[in-house]
Amino acid sequence: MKAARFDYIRPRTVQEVLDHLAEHGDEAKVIAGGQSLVPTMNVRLAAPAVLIDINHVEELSGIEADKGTLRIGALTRHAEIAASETVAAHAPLLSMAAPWIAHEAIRNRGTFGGSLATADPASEWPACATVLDATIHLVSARGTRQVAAGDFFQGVYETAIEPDELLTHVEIPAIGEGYRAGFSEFARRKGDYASVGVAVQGRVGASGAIGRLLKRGEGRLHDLRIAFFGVAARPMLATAAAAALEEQPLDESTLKAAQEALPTDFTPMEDLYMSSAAKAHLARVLLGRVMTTLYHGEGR
Amino acid sequence: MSEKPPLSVLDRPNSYIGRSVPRPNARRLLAGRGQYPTDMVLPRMVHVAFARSPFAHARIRSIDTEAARAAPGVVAVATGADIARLCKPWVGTLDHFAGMKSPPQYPLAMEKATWQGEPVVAVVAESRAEAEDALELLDIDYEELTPVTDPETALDPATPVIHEDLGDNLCFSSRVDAGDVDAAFADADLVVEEEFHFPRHTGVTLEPRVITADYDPSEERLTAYHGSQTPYQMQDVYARHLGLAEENVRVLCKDLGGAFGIKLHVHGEEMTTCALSMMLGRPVKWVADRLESFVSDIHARDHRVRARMAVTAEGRIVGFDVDDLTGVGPYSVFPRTSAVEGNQVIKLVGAPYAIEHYRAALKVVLQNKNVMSQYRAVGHPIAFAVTESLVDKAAAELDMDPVAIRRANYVPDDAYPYKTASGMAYEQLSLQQSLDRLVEFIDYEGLRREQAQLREKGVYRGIGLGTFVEITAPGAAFYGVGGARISAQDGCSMKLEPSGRVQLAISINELGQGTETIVAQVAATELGVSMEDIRVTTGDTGSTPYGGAAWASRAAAIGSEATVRAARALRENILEVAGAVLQEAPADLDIRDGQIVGRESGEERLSVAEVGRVGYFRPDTLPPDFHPQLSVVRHYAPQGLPFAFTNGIHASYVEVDVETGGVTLLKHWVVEDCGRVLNPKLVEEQARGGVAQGIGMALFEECLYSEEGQLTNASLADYLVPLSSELPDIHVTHVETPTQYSEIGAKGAGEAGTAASPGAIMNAVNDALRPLGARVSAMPMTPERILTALGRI
Amino acid sequence: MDISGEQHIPASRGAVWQALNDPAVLEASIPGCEGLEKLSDTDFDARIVSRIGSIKARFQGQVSLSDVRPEEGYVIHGRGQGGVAGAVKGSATVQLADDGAGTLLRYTARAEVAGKLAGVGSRVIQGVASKTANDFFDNFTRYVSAEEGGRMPESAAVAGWRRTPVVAGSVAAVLVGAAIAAALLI
Repeated sequence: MKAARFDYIRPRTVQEVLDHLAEHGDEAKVIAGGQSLVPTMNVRLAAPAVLIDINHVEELSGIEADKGTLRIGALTRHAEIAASETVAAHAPLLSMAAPWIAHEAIRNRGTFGGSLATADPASEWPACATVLDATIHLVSARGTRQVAAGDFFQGVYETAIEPDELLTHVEIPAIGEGYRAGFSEFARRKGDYASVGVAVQGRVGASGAIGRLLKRGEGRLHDLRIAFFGVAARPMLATAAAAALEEQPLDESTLKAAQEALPTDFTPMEDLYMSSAAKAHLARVLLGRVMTTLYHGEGR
Repeated sequence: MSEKPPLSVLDRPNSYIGRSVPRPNARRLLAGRGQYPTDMVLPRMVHVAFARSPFAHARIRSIDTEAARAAPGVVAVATGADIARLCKPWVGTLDHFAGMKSPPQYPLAMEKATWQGEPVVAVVAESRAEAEDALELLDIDYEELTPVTDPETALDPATPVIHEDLGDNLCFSSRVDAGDVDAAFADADLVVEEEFHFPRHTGVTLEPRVITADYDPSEERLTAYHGSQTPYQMQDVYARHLGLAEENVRVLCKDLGGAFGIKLHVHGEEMTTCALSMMLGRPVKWVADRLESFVSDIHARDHRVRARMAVTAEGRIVGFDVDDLTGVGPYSVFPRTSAVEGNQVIKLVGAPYAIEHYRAALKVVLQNKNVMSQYRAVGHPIAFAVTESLVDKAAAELDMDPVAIRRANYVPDDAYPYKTASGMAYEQLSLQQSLDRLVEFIDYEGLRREQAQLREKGVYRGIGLGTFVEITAPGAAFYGVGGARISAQDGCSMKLEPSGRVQLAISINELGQGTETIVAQVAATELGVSMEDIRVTTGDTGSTPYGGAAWASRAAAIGSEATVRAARALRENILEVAGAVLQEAPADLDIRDGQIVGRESGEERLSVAEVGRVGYFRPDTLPPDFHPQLSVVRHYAPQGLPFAFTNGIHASYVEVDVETGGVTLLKHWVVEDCGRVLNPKLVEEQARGGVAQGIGMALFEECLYSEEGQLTNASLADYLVPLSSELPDIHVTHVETPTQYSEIGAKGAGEAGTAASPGAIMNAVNDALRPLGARVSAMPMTPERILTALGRI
Repeated sequence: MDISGEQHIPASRGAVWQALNDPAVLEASIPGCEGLEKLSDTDFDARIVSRIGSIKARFQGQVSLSDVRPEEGYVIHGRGQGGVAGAVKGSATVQLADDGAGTLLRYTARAEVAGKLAGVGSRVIQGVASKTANDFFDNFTRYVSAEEGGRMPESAAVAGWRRTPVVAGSVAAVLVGAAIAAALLI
């Protein structure tokens, strides 16, 4: 299990990275945490001629919040996100999801941008980015462009990134007043790829323009965005399920309606250990659990 | 040590027996100074990588090696025919398995590849990476043949025969029939029955299989640094199959990163590596990578068992009727065969219970999947999952408590010696005592109360019991009588250094289980010196006495007997010298804490170091014709019955999430009786590690094969071994029933954890599911299977 | 693993059938196809480079047709070898039916991977296979529609290739397989 021969480049600036990408095109691969790429190379299913190591491009790291937008650099490690108070304040969904990502060692090394660019169908960040309507910033020698998370993930390991492009950072709208996030996942072992997972964000409040003071377990759901992962080639927004809950209080009948709407949203793909029927069942169970927690549990 | 209270079980002062002394090798291993075969580097060493068949069954039409030979760094490329010129094939049958069939197996596939992953071509290069580069340049033309993958249809006339010379795909069949089973079932008040499925899993050793073969043509001498549990067996195999003189083959394996039965079989890769070293006259190294391990390390289990049990209305178990179908690979594995696993299943079902009527049938069939053979607790987890599951099922139907039905049916503690219906002879077991201990150990009544309270709140917890009776420390009955050149005895040599310290070399070896510790404990106790004064050498056929090494839970039981005998002989010889120096009768002297003392008085007379000095440097001061014998060797062959049976019982406490089908293990308990406990901590570690592997079998591990014979989860991302996060606290306690056939009385302890845990967990899951009318009888008990049983999907 | 689907194509059944048998159209439609070469009326060689994420695999495949029913459908079989990565094989049944002014193409494909590809890629194979099949039919529909409108894919001009029953829905079979292959990850 030895990788095929490759050249290794360690640029210090984004501009250098882009120059190398422009030169080598799809013969090159960008390496950040290497948590998926290195094993893939070692089993020789990937054999890039050139590895461009961005770990020393400082401008790609970091978490900042400004004017209602959270900006996360592509090179930010999962563990940094898990520990970030800025993230907890502006995108609590990410703080909830981070502990579910693999294991400590992988979280210390793996990066936010790397996970999005890898686009494993059972990984957490793509679903979170989809729910949060994140904007993914790409740059190449040809210029910069922004892609909405909903358009970014295209298939198993396939994204909108062109071979000469680099994912630099992601912008996420800060969570609004009255909004809450929820995250739940079922995996065979702690840290495994999810069999099924779900990420949710939405507002719980009065339906009218003038809200009254709400106790936990009261109010109606608004502006819900629900994304499942591990069920398809990319994160699936459960719009029908969300519609069934929109403007509704969460009770047994509305939850049931949302669960019954899930087949409209997707028919899960089977995987090695779980049939489509089992995944569909788990999706219903997880939806019930995550919504109940979101509705009755901790806000924000 | 003298300030510590004596804890002797051997009536020796300052005994280490029964004490949880730390491992002497722990510091070395923690310091990264272990000497694992994977670490081996030799001058002029080259590396081999293997091209493997992508198909489960295929004719090899042609192999074009030209481009690979021309690749940078490549030293040699060898096909099956090339290696066959140097290495004779082997046949995995044993004489005492009547009618057993398996064809000759070659190191690399010859005309046909018969499983996905079978090695086909070996490429040797200056580096492993270059060897792998060259693999990509091989052009192997395969003609796909229909694979045989379903054991149920392996014997159907419509199914292709894998090896035409054998006539069919039947490897072995056997039957046990005792009492009058038909009448027993006809008369029974209750018959419980079930079909069980135990799919394949595999060993997943932390250190993969590895060998560095170093052939010196000038002496026709092969030195193999081989990750092996059985260096002497491999010395024999290499000598015979490579045409070398036995004394010219030396197998070394100092440290080993786990074995579990994986590393005692003959695999083609190691044989090829040795042959390549002979071909090239250079050291050749092979380390399995994890992808190779999954498709080439022996797999384990793979049973479909149909079983039924006859019971009276009072809960008296009357008989068992068992049918086991097990699928092995395309070959029975050499030299231990692939029949022992099934053979143990059909002997061990019902083993803890006093029954007269017993029938069991075994069919072992060949299939186009990786080879299957012995792995930790051979056959036991199958037999006891079946047995204990049926016992719980009967208890539920009769509204009896699982503890009560066991207590009523065990072979009673006062009934020994006892011979089972399947023909096994027990010297002395402690089934009832162990059950009583367990009930107290786990607060069984309290657990049942907690379970009932939580159930009212919609929490589904289950308690499962799993009794085992285990075959350990075999004599020649396993292999020797069948013609296998596998030693059932072991030897220990001890040498007094002039300093008074001791060098000990023994044929049992260190797999990480603590052999070095046990041996030093026994030797120090019997000799009368500190453990720190004993240096233990293992894993070298060139410098240790000949023996069987470590398999079938035999190392401590047999090795401790060889050790105590060698230590006694050395003590007597030391006292002879001391007697001569002191002008006293040796019988009046003893050794304590490294000092020669008066046996009665305990008065210090002389140090052992002084004996060494005189014995080696001043023999002229000793009486004429007195020759100090300060090196000794003693061997021990197991005595009495063919096996030293152990017993015990596990309990598992689980919670099932009935919405997701997820199982959380809350606690696991083990009561084990391995006879004399030499080192409680080491026995407990063995139990815990064994339970972890049993948990893997019960809940996680399965080699998933497609209908085409493709292994579809051949990486550690997809093949699920339990991780620390999945393991509950595992509590272990001991009942000690020493065997009277040996001096110390230790029996085997290495496999008990694996033997009973899967059945206990299955019973716990089914106990949790019972109020919902659901039941699972296939392992691993995945969410998918549990949700299906619950009717949720 | 079975993959099935259907696609409405805004072209006549005759035109779709012709395209299904046009190596140039197929080559242009099969994701990663770098060439189709006709060996006989029912046998073809295909060269495919499959790229999925960081994974890139090259396959040499053979494709053959059976049960050919003009303008109705056929069964296509394929197999490909990807060297040490393993092998892929598969078959697909393609059926055409009138669908308003256009044609409904239905396919059921079965793809299998072998060797290392099977060992480490099975977790995501279905997703990759489905996506590959979809991509093929999207490409195919686009080209057939364009052809109806008078525009040929450039590659259709490739010298001298007769329009014969070829590959086709090949999509499926090997080709799907090949791409699948690509998919692996550990």
